[in-house]
Amino acid sequence: MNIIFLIAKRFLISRNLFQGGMINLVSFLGLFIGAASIVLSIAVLNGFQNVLGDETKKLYGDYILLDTNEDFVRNSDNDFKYSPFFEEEFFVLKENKQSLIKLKTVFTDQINTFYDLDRLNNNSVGNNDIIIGRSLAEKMNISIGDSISIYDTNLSVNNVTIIPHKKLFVKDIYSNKILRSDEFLAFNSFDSNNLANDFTGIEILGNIEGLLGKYSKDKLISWKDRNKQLFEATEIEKKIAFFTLFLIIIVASFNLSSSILQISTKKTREMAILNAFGMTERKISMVFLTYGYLLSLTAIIGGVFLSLLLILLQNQFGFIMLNPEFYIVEKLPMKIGFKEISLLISFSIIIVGIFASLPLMIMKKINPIILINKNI
Amino acid sequence: MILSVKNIKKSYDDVGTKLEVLKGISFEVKKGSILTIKGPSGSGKSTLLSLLGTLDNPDSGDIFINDINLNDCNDFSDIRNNHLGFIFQFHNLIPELNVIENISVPALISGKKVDQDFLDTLFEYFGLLNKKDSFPLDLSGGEKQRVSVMRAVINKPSIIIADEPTGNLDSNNATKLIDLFKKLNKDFGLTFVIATHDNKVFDIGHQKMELSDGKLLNL
Repeated sequence: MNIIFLIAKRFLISRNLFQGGMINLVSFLGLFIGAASIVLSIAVLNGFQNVLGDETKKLYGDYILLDTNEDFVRNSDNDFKYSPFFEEEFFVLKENKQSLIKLKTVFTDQINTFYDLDRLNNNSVGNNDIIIGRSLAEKMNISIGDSISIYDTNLSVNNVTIIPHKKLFVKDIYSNKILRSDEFLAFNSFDSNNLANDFTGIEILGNIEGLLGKYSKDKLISWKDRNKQLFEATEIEKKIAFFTLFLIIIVASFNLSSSILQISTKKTREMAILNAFGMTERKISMVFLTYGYLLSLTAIIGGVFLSLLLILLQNQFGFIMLNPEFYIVEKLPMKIGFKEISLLISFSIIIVGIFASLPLMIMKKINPIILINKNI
Repeated sequence: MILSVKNIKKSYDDVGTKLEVLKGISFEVKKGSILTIKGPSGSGKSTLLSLLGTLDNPDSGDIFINDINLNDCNDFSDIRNNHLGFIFQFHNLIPELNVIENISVPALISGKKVDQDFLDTLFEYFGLLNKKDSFPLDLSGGEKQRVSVMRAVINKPSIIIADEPTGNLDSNNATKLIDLFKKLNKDFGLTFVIATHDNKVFDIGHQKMELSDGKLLNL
């Protein structure tokens, strides 16, 4: 076994378990808890971000292509689904209640195949039918089978009444809490007979690699860009959580510094012996640096493993339940990626390296030769 | 000659005055011989051994170990690891390492594989076969010092430097250690430079010298 690793390991875990005593224990726990907290927090934020993405995609697809040339999409050889749509804003009036809605008109068959609406019934939808969201239904007191009138936002008014734009039958009610969609987004269908003259755009679901080079970013917009503010807010939240919780690791690294300083001052005699037997000062410093890394990486990797286990158990058994009325999902969503864990470990290695090196600078002032001369 | 010392001088500053500890010392040691040095406390024995062990530098003069002039060396790690073995008055074992690991330290430092046959021979030789996995805390004073001797010889160094090796042992263990030195010298041809107060140790020297007033006298 490598002598540096052997001695570092034995200094750390000797028969007098935890030579550094409390300081070692505190650094270990700090790093362990810090790493676990970061992974768990990021996993929860990722989980909700994932829910946000999944729920958004159910209504809007992965991308929107702001091109009304459906033939181009139809002819491209790609592995994706698409749905041309026409979107317009209307007022819905019922009794003394009113609401602004966005009516998305899509091909009849796409309502079932492209969009993933959590509908009460799976009734087929005709040209004069509408699917509204649950929140709108509750707000306006609308039930399946009711007829509603929609009004153009540029209201047509004659001398006695407001002229409805169209009268539609409520064929179904869907649920999707994301971005309060089910309060303002409604679906209507067209077929080749009542096809709109031009589309608002084409929503796309799946792998769009083939289209990426053909359209500029302002023409081909991802769901993240369509919901930029929300998505960026969650991203910022993730970064803040990461750096705030990383402070735990930084504080624990201060303890690590003390721990290494303590062990190195305790072990000056051993350093002198090693030096007398030919170990260079650089290698002696490496012993203490290895000691620091053994302590910290064990704690950090331990913390990461514990959090991964908790994430696995939560995803498997859903120990922490949520109210879906408020949180969309029934169980706390958790998701962590290799990238985030690598980032955490890399940052930790750098921080621990810096803090573990501080005592080594002090150690350089200790001359093992003087010590060995005193001992010889 | 395995060790050649030519006119070395060493002095220290003692509250503004220059204290000359070694005043031009010269001697040679043949391979496979034992040099014992005695002298009163403060006569400079430890200083001389520190210089021979490359733990300190002389003010002037030359020291040759295996024809290597120490004045030409910048880094003594290799010399200490391959050419020298140290036995201290106190065993100075690393308490976290077990016996076998403590003995292997010089070999592990050099990155060499421990000579297992030699190690086994030493364990048998030193009567410590049943202590291989013990830790220093579990050993008696005599056993600890024997382990420290094993550590000093594991790399088969050119010279073993021992400063008061029996200074911390009772007479029974001191006698055992003296016998071991003689056996190691005889069986393995190891060269010893020993500084001691103990006449029994002093008597095993093929060359015997006394350090007095900074000068080395042949006895």
